Amino acid sequence: MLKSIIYKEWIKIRWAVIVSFLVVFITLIYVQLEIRHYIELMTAFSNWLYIIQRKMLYYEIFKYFPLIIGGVISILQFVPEMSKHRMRLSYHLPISEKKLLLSMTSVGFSLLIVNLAIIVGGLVGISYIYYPAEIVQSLLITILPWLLGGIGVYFLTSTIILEPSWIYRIILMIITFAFMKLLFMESGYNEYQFSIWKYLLIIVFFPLMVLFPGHRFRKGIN
Amino acid sequence: MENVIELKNLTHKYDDKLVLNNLNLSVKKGRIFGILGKNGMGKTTTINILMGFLRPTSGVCKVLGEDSHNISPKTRARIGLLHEGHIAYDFMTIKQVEKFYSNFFTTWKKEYYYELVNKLHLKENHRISNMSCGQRSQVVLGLIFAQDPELMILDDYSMGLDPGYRSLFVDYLKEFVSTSEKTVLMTSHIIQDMEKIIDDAIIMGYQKLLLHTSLKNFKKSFHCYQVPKSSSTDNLQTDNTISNIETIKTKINIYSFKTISEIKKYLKSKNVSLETLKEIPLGLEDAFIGLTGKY
Amino acid sequence: MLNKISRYVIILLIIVVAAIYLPNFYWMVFQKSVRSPSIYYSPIKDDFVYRQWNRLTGSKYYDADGNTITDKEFRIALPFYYYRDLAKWGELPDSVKTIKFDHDELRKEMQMLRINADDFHDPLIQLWPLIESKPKYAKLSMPNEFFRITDRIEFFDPDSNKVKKEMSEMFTNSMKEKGFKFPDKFIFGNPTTRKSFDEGYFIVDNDNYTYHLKKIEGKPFCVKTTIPRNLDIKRIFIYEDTRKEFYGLLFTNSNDVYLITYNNYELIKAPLEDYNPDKMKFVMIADPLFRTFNFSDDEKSTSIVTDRNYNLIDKFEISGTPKENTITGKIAKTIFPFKIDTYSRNTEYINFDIKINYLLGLIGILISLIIFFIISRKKQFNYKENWFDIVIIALTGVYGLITVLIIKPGYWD
Repeated sequence: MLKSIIYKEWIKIRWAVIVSFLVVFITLIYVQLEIRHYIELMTAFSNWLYIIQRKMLYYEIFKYFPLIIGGVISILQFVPEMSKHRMRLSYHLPISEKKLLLSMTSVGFSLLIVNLAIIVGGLVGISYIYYPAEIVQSLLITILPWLLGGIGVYFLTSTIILEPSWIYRIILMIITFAFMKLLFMESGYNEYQFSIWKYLLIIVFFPLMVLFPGHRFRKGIN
Repeated sequence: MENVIELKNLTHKYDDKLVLNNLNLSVKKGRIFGILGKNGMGKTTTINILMGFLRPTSGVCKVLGEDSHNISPKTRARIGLLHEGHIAYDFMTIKQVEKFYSNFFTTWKKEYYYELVNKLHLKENHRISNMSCGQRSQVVLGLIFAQDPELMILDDYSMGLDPGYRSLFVDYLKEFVSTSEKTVLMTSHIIQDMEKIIDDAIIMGYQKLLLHTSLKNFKKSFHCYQVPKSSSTDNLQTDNTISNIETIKTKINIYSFKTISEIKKYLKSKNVSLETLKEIPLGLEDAFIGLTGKY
Repeated sequence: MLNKISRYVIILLIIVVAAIYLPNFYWMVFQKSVRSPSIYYSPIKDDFVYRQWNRLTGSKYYDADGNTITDKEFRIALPFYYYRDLAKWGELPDSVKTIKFDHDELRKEMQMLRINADDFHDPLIQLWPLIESKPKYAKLSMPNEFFRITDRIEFFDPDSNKVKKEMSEMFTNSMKEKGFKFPDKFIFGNPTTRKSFDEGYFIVDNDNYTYHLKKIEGKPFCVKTTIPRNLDIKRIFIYEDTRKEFYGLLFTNSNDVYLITYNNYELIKAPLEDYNPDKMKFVMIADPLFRTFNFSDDEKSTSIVTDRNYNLIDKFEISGTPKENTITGKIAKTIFPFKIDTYSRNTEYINFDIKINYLLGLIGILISLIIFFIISRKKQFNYKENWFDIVIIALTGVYGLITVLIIKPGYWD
């Protein structure tokens, strides 16, 4: 049964996943070219100085990538299910609603994680060519809230789409916007160093969020 | 024989609006059962409750012995649903959708599905979203047949189908049901089709059941009598004898389950002239409309 | 069960978002803009004068007794700051106290340092450029490498992204010779070329001794300073100022401020009281006659004046009412039993700090509970299934009340 669920989710999102892999890959190349260009133009020293003192985030182009990828995967997974009440087909499958929803989101979440891992791996790999460990470390700390933003948006968007009532949807949209804003407030590096675990502690529970809209759909609560 | 579906005092309100009022109904195994009624009489609500997508405000709705709003996955496998508009996973192809469903059911009968779908002469990688409504209905029916469920709930199967596909659908369904002990509960607006297939039916009226019988019985026992309009006919009202009254210019149509002699006696007591009283022959659809009213 | 938990996750999220945004919205609507006054010591009046800015009235000027003075009077009282204005008006005195008025001399004698709370809380990558302190040319220029300190000092060449072995060894050995215990605890410096000379870095070693490290003609210059090791240093700010009176200011974790005397590293303690570097703005002004230390937050602005030898002359305080203590603030505390702060101007970091309003917050929670019981009595609330809703309101007050009422329970059967 799980195999079938994975199969269906994969059919819905495979193109988006492939396209996002490509876009991430091209953007990584762009970031590397930009670093090289900068170094040739202004010397490596001033490039480092810009990064360290002026707090230039040379990877900032990726800032909203996790958010967009998370949102798109969620939309592609759940909008086809909710349009024309197609979710009724899924909820009638001989599998519990909870298992179904958690399996569906696991598929999207896994592919999102793979995507994020490529971004992180690519950036770390490129950074190690040009920068010392301190800068690479600050990169990791600085993009962590963005990555969490992508994960958060994935589950929040899924919750919004799965929710049958439009009033709840609008409330959840506002909450999503407000919460996501909190993860993208930085003006330099390492600013979430001491608080990110608290945000993580909230986001850890997000995967469970999709169950309540499922319950509401099943019981016909509007 | 056991009851596959059992409704007891089923009541549903949307906020404070009462839609179903103490509905009682049971469907026996092996029967093909129709729910008829005009729009807004709670047909969709009843179907939603039966399908398990609405928790009733009060009362009981048991399907295969379980509360429909809390039906177990195991029991779900024994129920085939056809949703209004022939909902299907549009983003899948003929082959993909079969592959997807087959893993969920131990008794999956692939051949039933392809028997139906092959008649469409489409390629296996044809996407459902690129099909006509009729073609899609075949795919959906094929999937339900392949699931080989004990109970089928078919909501408005005729919606969007042209007469060809409609009769095809009915033919296949009839054929499928006749060879096994299946129970079917269906709704439709096309009364003639229902006549061909349904054993029993209910006709739903505003907050009440208008009728629970076989269609044959209904057609036989429901009559329309016509008299000219006069001052005495203006006092006629629906009651135990008269199910519905319709005024067409200078004539009055009286719908009733009573025989012609009973109605004559009744009208005489109301001082209605019986001179030109005549019975108008009714088709099933006319009878249905006569019972439920046009508005 | 999981469905119930799922609902509570949604409720928790809404409460968190509400606790972050709603108190801010509240203050946006009700707060009048207040700025702390700027206080100065007038050598003419031998007393303080101050300026208060307000969005409605603009700048207003006062003397130490709180009497309004004019803009012109204010400037005349402060000839060291406003001598250009005074010259234009023909009001410039020949001398102030013992000081003869000379523009060029004056400019050399003036120094102003500003340190904000967020300067103490700023994430910085610990890679530092070591500027040549005896440059070949008139201007300072950036070096070609950054250093880091681990169990040795390492100089990184950005071009190759590799350690410069020779240079690293040379500096490590020099520092070891002076007794430096690797690794370091802190590195403090002012790595910019926009200054007239360079004093390198003050580095606290693993034994809490402070070393002074410079690069002179490419060679290490390392001095073990006499700064006591038991000082519990919070931060050293280096200021290469042409006055060359001190290297900079040293802040300790017990909120003391010291000046590090030029050349001999002797510490002079600034006579400050109730200064909190984590919350306050700090300004030090040196003029030909006095040293002024100003520090302020919403609650209080303090100005302390000393003579040139840092002997206390006078002290001045203006207390404002912090917004929390106004009626508006008390209402806010009652409505919101707690709030979550993510942004603060006292730090460059982004927080997630829960601030609880104990007593007034409890009153708000009680009111929220009463409102909930009244509303839920009408709506036949299922207490047995949803008792945790009440726990949530009891813990989060108005946030929980609104959220629980909006995100209604499901059918838990």
